[in-house]
Amino acid sequence: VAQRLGISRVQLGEALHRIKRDAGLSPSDQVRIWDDGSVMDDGDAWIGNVYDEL
Amino acid sequence: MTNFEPRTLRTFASLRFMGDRLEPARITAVLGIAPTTAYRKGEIFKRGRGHDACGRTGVWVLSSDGHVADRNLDTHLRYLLAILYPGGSDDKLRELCDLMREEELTADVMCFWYGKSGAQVPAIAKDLSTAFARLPAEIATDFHTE
Repeated sequence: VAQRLGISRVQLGEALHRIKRDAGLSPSDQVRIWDDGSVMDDGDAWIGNVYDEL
Repeated sequence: MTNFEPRTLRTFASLRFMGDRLEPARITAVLGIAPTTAYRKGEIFKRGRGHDACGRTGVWVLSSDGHVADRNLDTHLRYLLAILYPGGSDDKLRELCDLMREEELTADVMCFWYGKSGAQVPAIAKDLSTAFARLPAEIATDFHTE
């Protein structure tokens, strides 16, 4: 996923951690990541964008 | 004290309170520090690229990131504990426990750690987890290596 988004794995990991944390999710909660960086929770609600966290 | 792993690339920790009845200003008043992120249930807490993120529950987060310039996770956790137990006093902890009961809140500590390939993931020292457990706040780890 990191390669597809053009960022490093540590950048992706940190961004997802912040997005989940701020949305009230736990690190193990599953999310979906779109090519534009959008992150959706398990209910398909938008909870952030990877690029906003870089 | 945990042995420091020099192959650590990035780490920080966040103290987080959550609950449907959470009132951010009350936690801020007890701890005397501005949160990294805070919102009530139902509030829009993030906007971007045509989307809004609405709080499924109330959240109050304080991150060590930006406050601690150290790649030792222990140091980040101790920063958060110094806010919970200023000068070793547990007055704030007791106030928070009362508030958590009153507003039916939960608390946790989210730890992020990323290390180089082959790095050993950190172990949370027992005294640290015990101190957070007094809230109670469980520690959730998000550890990865290259």
